[in-house]
Order: sequence, then C-alpha cells, then structure tokens
Amino acid sequence: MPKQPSPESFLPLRSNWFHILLSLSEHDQHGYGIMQDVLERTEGKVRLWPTTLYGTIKRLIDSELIEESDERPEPELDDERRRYYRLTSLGRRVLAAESHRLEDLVKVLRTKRLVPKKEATS
Amino acid sequence: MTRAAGFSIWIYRWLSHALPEDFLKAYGREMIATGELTIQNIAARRGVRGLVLLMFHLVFDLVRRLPAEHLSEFTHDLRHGGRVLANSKGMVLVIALSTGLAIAVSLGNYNETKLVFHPVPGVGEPQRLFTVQMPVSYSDFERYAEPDGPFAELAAYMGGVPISVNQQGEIQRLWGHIVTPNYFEVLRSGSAAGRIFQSNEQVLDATDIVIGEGYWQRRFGGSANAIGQNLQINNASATITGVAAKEFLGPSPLTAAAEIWISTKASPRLAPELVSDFLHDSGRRSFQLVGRLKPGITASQAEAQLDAIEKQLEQQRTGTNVAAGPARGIRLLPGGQLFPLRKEDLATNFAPAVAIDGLLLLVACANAGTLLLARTAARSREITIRVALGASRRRIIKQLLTESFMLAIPAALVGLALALFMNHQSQKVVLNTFPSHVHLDLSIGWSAIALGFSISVVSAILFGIVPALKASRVNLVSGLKAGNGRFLPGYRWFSSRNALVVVQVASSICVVILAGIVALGFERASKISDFGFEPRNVYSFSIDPLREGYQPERAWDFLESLPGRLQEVPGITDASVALKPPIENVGFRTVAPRLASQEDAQPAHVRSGNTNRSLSRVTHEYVDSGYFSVLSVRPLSGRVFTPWRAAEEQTAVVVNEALAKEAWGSENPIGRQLEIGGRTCEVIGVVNDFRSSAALAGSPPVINSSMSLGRSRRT
Repeated sequence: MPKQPSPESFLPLRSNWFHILLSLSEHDQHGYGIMQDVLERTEGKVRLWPTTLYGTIKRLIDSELIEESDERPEPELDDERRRYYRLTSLGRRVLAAESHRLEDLVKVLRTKRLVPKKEATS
Repeated sequence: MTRAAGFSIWIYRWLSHALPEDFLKAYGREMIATGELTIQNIAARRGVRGLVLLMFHLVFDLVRRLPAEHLSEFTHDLRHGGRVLANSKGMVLVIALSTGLAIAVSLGNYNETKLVFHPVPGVGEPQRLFTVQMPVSYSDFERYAEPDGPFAELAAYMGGVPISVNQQGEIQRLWGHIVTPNYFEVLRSGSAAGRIFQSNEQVLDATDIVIGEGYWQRRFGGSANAIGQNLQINNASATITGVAAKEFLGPSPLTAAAEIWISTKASPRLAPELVSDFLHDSGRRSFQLVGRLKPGITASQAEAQLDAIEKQLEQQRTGTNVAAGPARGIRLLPGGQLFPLRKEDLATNFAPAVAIDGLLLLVACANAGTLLLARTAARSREITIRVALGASRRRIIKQLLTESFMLAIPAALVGLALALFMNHQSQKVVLNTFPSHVHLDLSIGWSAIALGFSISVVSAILFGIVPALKASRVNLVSGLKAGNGRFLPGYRWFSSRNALVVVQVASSICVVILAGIVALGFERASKISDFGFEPRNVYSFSIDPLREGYQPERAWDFLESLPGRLQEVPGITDASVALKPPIENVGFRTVAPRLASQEDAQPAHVRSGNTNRSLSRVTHEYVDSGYFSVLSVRPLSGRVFTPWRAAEEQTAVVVNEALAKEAWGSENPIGRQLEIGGRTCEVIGVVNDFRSSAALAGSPPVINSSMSLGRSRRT
C-alpha cells in the first residue's frame, strides 16, 4: 500500500480546495450543493463556477482528499445526474491542518493589531 | 423555462464540448447539470440582464479552465505512454536511430544551405549588393558606372592577384585585389586602423596600399605604428595607409580572398597586372564588379539595361549594329552572399538534396510506422478494453499519437547528436577546402535545433497516424474474445501494413537512384577523360620571378629555360610554362576577338544571329611549345607552337575545336586570321576541347597564344 502523504505537504491550501473541503466537513454534498454552500458562507464573495468547481473536485479526488460517496438521498429528492462527495480521513486532517495554520496567522495579525477584534470575531 | 434560458443552456452545452474527453466522461454530465440549474435560477430571479452576465461568467470560467484540463489529460497520456514505451525499448531504439539519421541528414543539408546565404564578412548592407556574373574590362566598367546605367554605385576589382611580400628577406606570397578607389565605400566596409581608399580622394598616392586586419595582427601585432610604414611588395616599396575592417577579405572571400588592396591608380611597379596600359585594353576582361542599384530598379530591369549597354559597347568595338540581336545574357548575382546564388537558381541547386532528405525521412517514417503497426496489433486487447469503457476513436488516436510524439523526442535528440558529429567532420573538410583565414560559421544554431524538432514532430505524425487509425478501428466482440492479441486477419493485398512496406521499398529505391545520380554526377565531373586531357601524373606549381625581384628580361629568360632545367630532374619527363595552369581560376582571362576579314564573318555554321564580325567572349591563354605535349593533347589539324625564340610565333594562335566551330563552322580554320586586342593573329593549329577553367562547364572557346607574345607584351 502506497504511503499516504502528510497533511502538511498540502499546505498552504489553495482557496478553492479549502472552501470545498470546508463544505464537505459537516456532511456529504453534490457539486451544486457545494457551490451554493460556498456562496452563502462567504456572503457571495466566493463563487465556484461549474468548470472550476469540477476541475477542483477532480484534483481533490486524484489527491485522495475527497471521494465519491455511495449514500444518496431518497429517489424523489435525488437527481440521477448528481454525484455526492465526502471527505476522506486525509482530507479531514488536511482541513484541520490548514485551519490551524490560518488560526495562527490570525493570531499573529491580532498581536500586530492589524485585524480589529470585532472583525476577526464576527 | 424561458426561451433565453433554453438558448443559454444550449450554448453552454455546446461550448462544454471543448473540454477534454476524459474530463467530460467523468464530470461532464454533472457539470452541465449544475450549469443548467444555475442558468434556470438566475433566469427566474434576475431576468435576461442577469442571464447575460451569468453567461459571461460561465463562458469565461470554461475558457479559463480549458488549458489546465487539456494539459492534465496530456500529462496523463504522457505517463501512460512512458509506461508503454518503457516496455518496448528495442522498438524505441530502432525508431530513434532510423528517424534520427534522416533528421541528421536534413539538418546537415540545412546548415549547408544556410551557408549560401551567409553574408560576406565585413560588408555593410550586404542584401543590397549585386555583382555581375562575368568579368569585364576596365573600360566596360567605366561605361557601366555612368549615370545613365542602373547602378547608384559601382566598384571594380581584380582578384585574387598574387602579391609577393618581402619580410626581412623572406618572400611570402599573399593574395590581394586591385580595386577602384570607391571599392570600400561601395562595400560599406570601414577600417580597423588608418585610412582606407575613398572615392573622393583626388590624389591617391601610387604607392598607397591597404592591408587586411588578419595580416596586420600577424605581421605587426595590431600595432598602430604599422600605418605609414613601408612594405616591400612585388619588389617595390608600398606605403600602408590603412587596415581593413576585421574579417573583411573582399566581396568574394571563398574564391578570391584578399589581404592586400592596391588601387587601380597604383604604379605598375607595385602591381605588374597594370602594365602596358592594362586599364584601357578593352579585350582584357579581368575586373569583377560589385555595386548597388539605383532605388526602385529591380535586378531584372538592371540586367536589361546592362544588356543594352553591352550591345552599344559591342557595336563600338565591331562597327556592326547588334541592337536587334539576341540578348547578351548579362546576369546580376547577389553580391553580399558568400555564395552568389540567385533565389531562382536555388531549386536547381538544392532540389536533389531536398528530395533525398524527404525520401530518407519517408523511409524512416515507413519503417517506424511498420514497427508501430506491429506493436498496436499486440496491444489490441488494451485498446479494445478502453473502447469498451467508453473511450472514443478520437481519444484512442490522441493517445497513440501522443506516444508517437514521445518517440519523436529521442529521434530528434539522436538526429541532433548525429548532426553535430557530421558538422564537426564537415568543418574539417571545409577548413581544408577554403582558406583558413575565412571564418565560416557552420555550427548548429537554434534555428537548426528548432528545425530538428519540427522535422521530428512531422515524422511523428507521419509514422504515427496510420497505426493510430488502424488500432482505433476496434471490433468489441472479436477483440474481447480474442485474448491478448487480435486474430490475425487473412492475407490482404491492400492492407495498411503492405502500404507502408510499399512506401518503404519505393522510397528506398528512389533514394538509391537519386544518390546514384548525384554520385555519378560527381564521378563524371571528376572523371579523368572528361577534362579533355590526361591529368595523370601532371603536377603544377606557380612562381612569379617578376614579383620576387627579377628584372623582366631575366625573369623571361628564367621562365624560358625552366622547362629544360626541370626535365633534367630525375622523375620529370616533360615540363612546360604557362601563364595559368589548366583547371585553375586564378588568372582567368577573356578576350573578344574579331574575325579579321568580312568573308570570315559569314561562316558556314555560326550560332544563331551571330552575323557580326565579333565572336563571343573567349578564354585567352598564354602557353609555351611544350604545354600541349605535357597534357598529352595532340593537334587535330595544323601544328602547335615552336620554342619561344621564334618571332613569328608572336602572331600565331592555336585554337580549340569550340572556337573553330563557332568562327568558321566546318571550314578549315588553319591560316584564318583573328584580331585580338588590335593585333592580327593567324591560326596555326586546332586542338581538342579541354577544360581550361574549373569555373566554366562544357567547352568554351579558347585561344592559346605563345609565351613569346606574352614576353614581347610584358617586357
């Protein structure tokens, strides 16, 4: 079995990768769901257009950070063209590592008083 | 769904086909569904304006991602191809070697072709420089240079002229040019030190000379003190006024490189070529011309003007109206190229080489194609499975062509390595052929490397396309049942493999035939009997006692006695003296003789339209009585010269068959008279045509005068 790469080897994570991993951190999602989730979470600031979204999903699968999920919703709620994706354990560790990295960065910025507390906590 | 939304979805679906097949297979349906859903949402919420903005974003997103997705698929194909080729090392080696050899030959020819267009070193604006193909007399040059002629600037030079340089008592022979004062100006060539000749120099000292930069470095170590120094050349004292620009060796460095330049205004003591009012002897066509055309005049217009001028000159010389006669065939050649070859002559000169290159490449490609065809037959199960999993024919062809391109890389590398090796070898040959001080850049440059890779890409398409097309035609049922290896089809006459073999064999035969024709051409050119004389055991050397300090009388006495003295040397059976040995271009002279009587102007057989009293340009040689016997040439009629002392021999000439035929047709030429440079001469003998010059193909008309005439004219 090939040795799994360390989570740190993926850092710093590309913005698109981070947003998709974050969207899948709570539950499995299909592509359109990920797109909407990112849009809502970033209040419309980040929008993953379809070709970029699926291009990134392809690379995340190739890097074994996400995988296709077998679980599907009830047929009446499902669209057979959709596929569902979930985080792998490596993906989850990479997301955690990236979160820690960003947290450390924010801490540094706060000590330098470059980020107002209110904005940072909101 | 509105019509606008439906149209937008149709556009989005259509555009998404630009994405690579693997991506579309894996995510295409889902991506299009997401796009459709987004379009429907925006159309419902924001109307047509929102839809237009959305379509802009969707299309921009698609276009932006296209290169990355295609590159991703290509990288995948490369990895797969690498694994496949790693298992077929033998095939890779054979294809790389055979195609590489063809590429190397093409690159070698390309490099030689490039050399043709190499600008003459040290010459400015070389692309605007022209030279007249045949040498002319100085008086003709003066007429060509007149303001009504086609040239804005025109210079003349005589070269290569041998020059004896006395260096502390030791005589060294250098080559030089006798040039008109505007020579350097016309060639846009500057000076490395001192002052070079200028056209506006009203008073040019008769002893002024310019030396080459190479000689300046060798003799004077590049010292500025050389300027103004005296140099003993041709047993006379000359003053160095300047040093020519670095690498400048004159406009014809391969055939007549110069390291010393003497002005046409120089004293005949400095340049014995100028003796006996040489410049005003219209029969002595010894000057090469280089010039720049007037703005707006094309080379063909200039040739027509020069032709008219040439006819005027001929009319003045012969007193016959030749205006309506045939063109004199004056040709302008590119004067700023190392090889003065016209563009329209390129095809004739390089067609055989290009044809051989193309055929060799075809043979190599057919060979590689046959190997790949066999290889793809062995991979039929792999290809069938890929097709069964949904790969299209286009996808299979793309994959196989990628493998062919991967094969092209080692082929290009082998080709470049072989080309570098061949180049190294040919440099040695070139250095032995041309004067060592002519710097010829034969190195393989970036353009050759780019060409090598381009040829290899074309080869990859050529040898990869047939196997790829063949392999992509898969029958799923039989292919999957067949196990590892396709059922071999029954023998068919018109199979792609047979076609490739036919191409291979046919191209090979063509290469052999073409190579044979070229080789026979070379052999014919160098064949002993084709010289028209017996060159076996004939050796020649040149001496010039006049330039080495002998007084004229003593020099001629020495030359007269030389054959007899040489014959006393053991091993030498026969010897003779001539102003120029055969098959030698240096010292090549032409004259325009006239037939001495009106009756002779109406020969039984002359070339079409030649009803005037003047013959075409004729090579003029000075030879002694033993010259023909040394070359084993016997007179066909009449006799050859008797020893020098005979005064009557001064008006005797021996002509070759070509001249006799042109002047008098089938009539007997013995006793006929010719007027050469104002002197009436009588034909005493006719010899067969033999090659007197390497520059002229075939058998040009030749007049041989006795050395005794040379003596009388030069002393």
